[in-house]
Amino acid sequence: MSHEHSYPALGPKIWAVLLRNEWFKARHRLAFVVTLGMYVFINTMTHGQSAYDALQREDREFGLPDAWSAMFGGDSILLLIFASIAIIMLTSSEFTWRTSRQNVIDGVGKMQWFWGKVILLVLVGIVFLASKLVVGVAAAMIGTDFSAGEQIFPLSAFAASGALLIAYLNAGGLALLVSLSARAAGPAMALWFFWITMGEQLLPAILGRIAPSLQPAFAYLPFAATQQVLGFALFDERRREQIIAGAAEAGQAAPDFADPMLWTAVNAGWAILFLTVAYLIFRKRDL
Amino acid sequence: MAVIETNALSKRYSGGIRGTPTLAVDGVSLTVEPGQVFGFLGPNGSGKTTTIGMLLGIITPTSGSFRLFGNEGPREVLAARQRIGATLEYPNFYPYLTCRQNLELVARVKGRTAEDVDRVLDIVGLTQRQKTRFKACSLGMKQRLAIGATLFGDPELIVLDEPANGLDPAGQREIRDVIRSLGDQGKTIFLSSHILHDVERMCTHVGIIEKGRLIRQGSVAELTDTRAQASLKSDADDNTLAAAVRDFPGAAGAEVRDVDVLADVPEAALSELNRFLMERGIALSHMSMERQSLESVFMRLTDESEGFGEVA
Repeated sequence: MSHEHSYPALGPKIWAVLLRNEWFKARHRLAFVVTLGMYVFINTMTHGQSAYDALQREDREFGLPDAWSAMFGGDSILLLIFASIAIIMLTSSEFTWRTSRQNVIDGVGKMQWFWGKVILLVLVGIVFLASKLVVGVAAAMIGTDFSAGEQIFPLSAFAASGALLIAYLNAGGLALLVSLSARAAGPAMALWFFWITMGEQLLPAILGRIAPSLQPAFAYLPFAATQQVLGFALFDERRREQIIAGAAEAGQAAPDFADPMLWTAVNAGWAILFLTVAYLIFRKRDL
Repeated sequence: MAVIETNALSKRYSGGIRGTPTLAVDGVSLTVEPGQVFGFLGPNGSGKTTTIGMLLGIITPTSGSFRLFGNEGPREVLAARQRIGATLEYPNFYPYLTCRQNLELVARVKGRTAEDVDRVLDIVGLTQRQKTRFKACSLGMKQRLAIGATLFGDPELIVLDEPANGLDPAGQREIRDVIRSLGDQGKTIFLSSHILHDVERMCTHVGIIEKGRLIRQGSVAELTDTRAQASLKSDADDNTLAAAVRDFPGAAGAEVRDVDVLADVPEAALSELNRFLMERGIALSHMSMERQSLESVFMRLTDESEGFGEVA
């Protein structure tokens, strides 16, 4: 009797099983729920405050499509941080509890287990991004003028969402890499924060003083690159024109806008590099 | 076709930057046939878990090879592993999930249904406690859950690493009963345990590993029979008797005990030994066979002289 047909690990069905199991484990994990809850709370407070101000004060507006700028502003960095922390907590504990080895013993291929974590990485990013958009859009709906005839959900909002997701895959990919290497939440968290603070802030500052010509290259460091795609104007021509016009009115020079394609590609490159290194390390080490 | 067949299987750990390289498993070649209840014995750190880990795909062998159900290639071995139910060392589950939720995760991986989860919970007696979180379970419940997880898909081979570890006598008996009933169903069981009298009662075959090397493999009956010893009493002084026995060409040794001398002589050579002693003027007043327990065979083979609790 052939056993091959009835076992998911031997066919494409394994991907559905991995997706289902990873989401099942995440949504039952208090640490994940709390992290996501905190992120939703912060977003609710931020966008809720904007919506409230718009209701209370005539000089304030918070409605779509202009509110996209607030949603994809600099505070999007919180998505990268919160979701990466979630990845570290969800992944590294699999080694502490030795469930990683038990999963393999139960029939998941060792490298299938790795791809399960990549699925989790993407899934967590989508969940955090979705929560951000739901909260932001819900708050902005209050002040949206539906009769203005403007496109409320422009294509640029989807482009900005995609770029933010790829930026998260960069930061989260690093989080997955340190989780699979350190195999414990504390050290993994410490390594990740050490890199984004010391590795990308302090070290470039010191090196930049010694060799100023290196300064432009520091923008290409992984976490610095994520910040290059934060900003709705990069993806939305209408918003760019508004900013340029505003600068001209104020008698200032028009600001330079980063090339979103270039920086999205840089982020994608880092994400691929981190996942490739994580793959090689995981393949080599025993569970 | 053997269920498990290893050929010079070895694992060397590099020991990291400053550590010393360790040869954890050194050329182990063992065979487990269908229907055997195979006890894998060895002192702590002898390489049992590493060997099992290699068979289960969580540790990569440094050299050598193995076959599961006659399969050797990576994909074939992955397929063969689907016919195995296994648990390694301690029960490893998600502490924040309930017993049932943990089994549901395993069931999905093995392509099983909710009905299978019910069946397994029933077999291991956890139906009433299925909503208890794993972290709140007693060790006995955890072990039963681990055995339950191995039973999905009606596996042909069950691998259990120290299944009675840390259990009280009642818990050990429970686990023993479950294993025995699985053995009675004709399943092949590969079991490592440090409770040797349990192994002796449950297993049909054993392999003994020490310092990474397989030093003996065979049926339990064969191992204990070949190591049968003779209790001797004579009119002579016990030390004289022991010295004379040691001179006998077929004797592996002799030990003076409180009331007799224990001679390590094959049963077939006893008449010859009697004649040999008579020729030296020693008349035996008592001669009886003492079948060695697996424990004494194990201790002798592994040169362990300390308490059994340390042997695992």
